[in-house]
Amino acid sequence: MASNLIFYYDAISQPCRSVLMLLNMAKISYEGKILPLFTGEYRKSAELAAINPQRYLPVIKDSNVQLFESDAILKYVADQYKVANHWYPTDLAKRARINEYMSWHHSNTRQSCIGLFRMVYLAPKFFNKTVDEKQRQEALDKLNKTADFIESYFLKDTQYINSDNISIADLLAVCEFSQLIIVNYDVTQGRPKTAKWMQNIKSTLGNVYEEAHEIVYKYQKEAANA
Amino acid sequence: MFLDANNIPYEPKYLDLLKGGHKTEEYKKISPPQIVPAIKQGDFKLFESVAILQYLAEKYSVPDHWYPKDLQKRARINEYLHWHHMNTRWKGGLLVMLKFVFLPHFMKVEVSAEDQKAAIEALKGTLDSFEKNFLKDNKFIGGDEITIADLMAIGELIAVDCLGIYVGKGRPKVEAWHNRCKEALGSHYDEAHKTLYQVGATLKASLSAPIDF
Repeated sequence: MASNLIFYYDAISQPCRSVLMLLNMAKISYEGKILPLFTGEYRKSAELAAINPQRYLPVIKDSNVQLFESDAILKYVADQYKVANHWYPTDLAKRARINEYMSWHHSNTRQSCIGLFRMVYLAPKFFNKTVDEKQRQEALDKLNKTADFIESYFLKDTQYINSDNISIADLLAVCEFSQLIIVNYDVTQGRPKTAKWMQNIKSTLGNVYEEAHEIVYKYQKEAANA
Repeated sequence: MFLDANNIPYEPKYLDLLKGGHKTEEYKKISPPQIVPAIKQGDFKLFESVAILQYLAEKYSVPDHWYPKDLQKRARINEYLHWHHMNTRWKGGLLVMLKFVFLPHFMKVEVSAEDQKAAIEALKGTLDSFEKNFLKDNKFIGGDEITIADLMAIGELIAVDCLGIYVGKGRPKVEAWHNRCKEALGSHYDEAHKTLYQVGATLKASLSAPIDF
């Protein structure tokens, strides 16, 4: 579907990958502008600052709509471009289930995954910080608690998060977990439902998943060789 | 506030959080992560306040301004609703409550003066962003009428008032927004905040010193 959509992103960012995969799966045409995060180049972008004064990615510009916050972008894109219903169901009760996860995501999946990732990867890599073992264990405990809850509640009776079909909730969650392969952490260990869920997602998204994650594999390899 | 302002009938079930009312097995069946708020309607259960507000706004066909059907306007509201968690809560109201009350007094975990100062600075930073990104020159978040985004923001930002931190202090935009919300919500605002100020007096008394804000 033709559009005036401009998507500012860097695929190394988890929420950016979520939006990238939705756009590509739904075959929405857009102009992609990569603003590199690791080099700090993104901070120089006046376009980014105009949309999000706090300068974090992703952001979109769609005619006269400007948005930040990946969740808001995913919801807007799903509704505006009338993507296949399973991505963000129009049935109220089903939509509520997706919204439930997407709201819970911030303080749980996002916070625990980025917390660990920042501590064991970003801080040592960019700020020469050493990892405090006690804090690392606390971060790991929090992550395990979060992953346990996804296994026991959100994937309890369904193939995907709160749904029998893949949705934008899954795109958000999977990108937080997939980031952790860079630091050699596999949340699916000991979590059979989560393992099956990740397999289903990769299978459903196919090349779209692989292409979005090329940069993640690159950093994973680099970290393994370090 | 949303339920009352829209005359949506409901049966309230009060949970005394300070006494662990949310930790019961009975409540776990309704809200598996044992967090509040939660709703139950027949077999349908839902937790996460944002999801609940989004659901109720659509289900009860409330006046459009609460959660507009227009996708562009709705996107603005969703933008705030998601920014809210990591900013208004975790770098704002919740962080302050955590560092000044929950950790030192309820969980008996020591919090350094440095950490507490950082929480106040985080709140100030969040208020700056709140004004710049969301209030701008609007009467409410993203527009001229009150929305569910304003309800979420009020909930978190006014909570710290019971500790003596008024977010409108030195911020005329925030103060004006707060007053507009109070006016729009009328008695529903007062009812909803009654418990906060009752319990708040105890929380404020537990502070080792008045908070410098």
